[in-house]
Amino acid sequence: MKCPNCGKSFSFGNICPHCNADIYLYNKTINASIKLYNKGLDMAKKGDMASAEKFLEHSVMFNKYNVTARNLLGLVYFERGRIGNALKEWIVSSSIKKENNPAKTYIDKVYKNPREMDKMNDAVHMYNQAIIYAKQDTIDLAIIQLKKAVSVNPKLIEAYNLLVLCYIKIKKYSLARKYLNRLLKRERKNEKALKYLVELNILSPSKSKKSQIDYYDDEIENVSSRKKAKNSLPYKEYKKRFIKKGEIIAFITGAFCSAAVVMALLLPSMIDTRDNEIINLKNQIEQITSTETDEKTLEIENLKAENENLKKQLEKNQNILYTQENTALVKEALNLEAENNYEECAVKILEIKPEYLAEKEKLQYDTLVESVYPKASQSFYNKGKSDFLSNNYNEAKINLENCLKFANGENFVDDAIYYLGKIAENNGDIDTAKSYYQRIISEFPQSNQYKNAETSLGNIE
Amino acid sequence: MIDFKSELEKYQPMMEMENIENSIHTEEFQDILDMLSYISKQNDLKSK
Repeated sequence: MKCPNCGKSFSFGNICPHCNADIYLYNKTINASIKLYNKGLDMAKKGDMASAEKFLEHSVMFNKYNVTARNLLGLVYFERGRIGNALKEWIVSSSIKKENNPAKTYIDKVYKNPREMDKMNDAVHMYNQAIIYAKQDTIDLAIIQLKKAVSVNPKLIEAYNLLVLCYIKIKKYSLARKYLNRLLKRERKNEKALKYLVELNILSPSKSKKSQIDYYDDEIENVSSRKKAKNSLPYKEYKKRFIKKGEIIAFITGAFCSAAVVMALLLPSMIDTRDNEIINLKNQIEQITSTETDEKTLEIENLKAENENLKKQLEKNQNILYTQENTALVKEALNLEAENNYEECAVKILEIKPEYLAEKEKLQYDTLVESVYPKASQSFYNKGKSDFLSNNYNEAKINLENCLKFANGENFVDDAIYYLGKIAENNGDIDTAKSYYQRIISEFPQSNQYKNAETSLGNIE
Repeated sequence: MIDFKSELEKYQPMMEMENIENSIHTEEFQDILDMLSYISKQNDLKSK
């Protein structure tokens, strides 16, 4: 053994050979703690948790370092629904012995199931509250709390005991008996419960002839037979239970209410989520559209600019082309003039567009117009008059019209107009003939053809 | 016949989880007091 005073070991006797300390009492307390632990363990194995709890509490009282007894006490507390006490014992135990201590495992297991732990703690809280109510003589409130406590944690034995006591107090013996049965089913040798059973046997004469344990056994049988009977209901009865209108209505109402609550809770958030999604999508579309529009606008502007450039280029090229063509025409006209072919030369000059000519060619063009047009006009007139007089009106018309194209106030212009009027009259084109005659009357009052035109106009009107 | 009030006195509140820490510290404090009282008793015996 180990001396508690100096910590050194020695084999026998109650006096330490090293420090002379008397350890007789110390040994006695240690042994007492062990014996009490053994008794507590025995009771726990037999299922008498109340007795086990007492023995183990005493064991720990004798030797607070008895970790094994403390751990078992924690287990017994836990089994009887006293979660707070159980955790306390295990925490103290694990602080005394830090390694290879099952208390740590127990604590971990409890903390890993927080929901169950909270329920057990709630049951304890309700039990404590019920004691307060009972002491205030508000038995009804105490009963409510205790019923809740045993429904939340059916292991809470003391709650059953107090509930039975409360029912005895308000003389509801059948209910007291009901909860007593439940209690005794869990703890056969619970002292308080057996005491209440005796009390109930006295208070209820029908059962008074039986001994308390016999009665208890009967009650157990009753409970088990009732349970069996419940489990093996006839089919019709079973079916009836589930087709009651009230139950169906309650079920449907419940389902509707649940659905309504779920919708009320979830719908706003769902709508909000959808709204946000729609807004995001709209923004994305706007961004894409605006980007696309900008890109297209830029593209169109570029194309327009390119088009303008091409147009300018084309115009420039066309100008060059026209210049070349018209320069060629001037050269041709010059050649025709050199050949004294004034008629063709004049027709060629008509084809020329002087705005596309360079300065030099423009001067040549002007000279050509000045010199060739009168000669060409005279030539066309001579031919036209000759054709007219020989009744060759078609040729005469072409030549006389060409004459007027190149004429510029020559003295044969009125004659040419008159002849054209006559040709038109002869061709049956009265309106044209009238216009020619009127032109002579209005433009050439001094003309030798004036009277002829007046007469011809009078004839055809 | 059971006396309700005296029977009720046997029921003590159980420890709730919120009170575990306090109860452990109280116990430790009690241990220190026990040691102090033991030492004082020893001193008294020696002086006698």
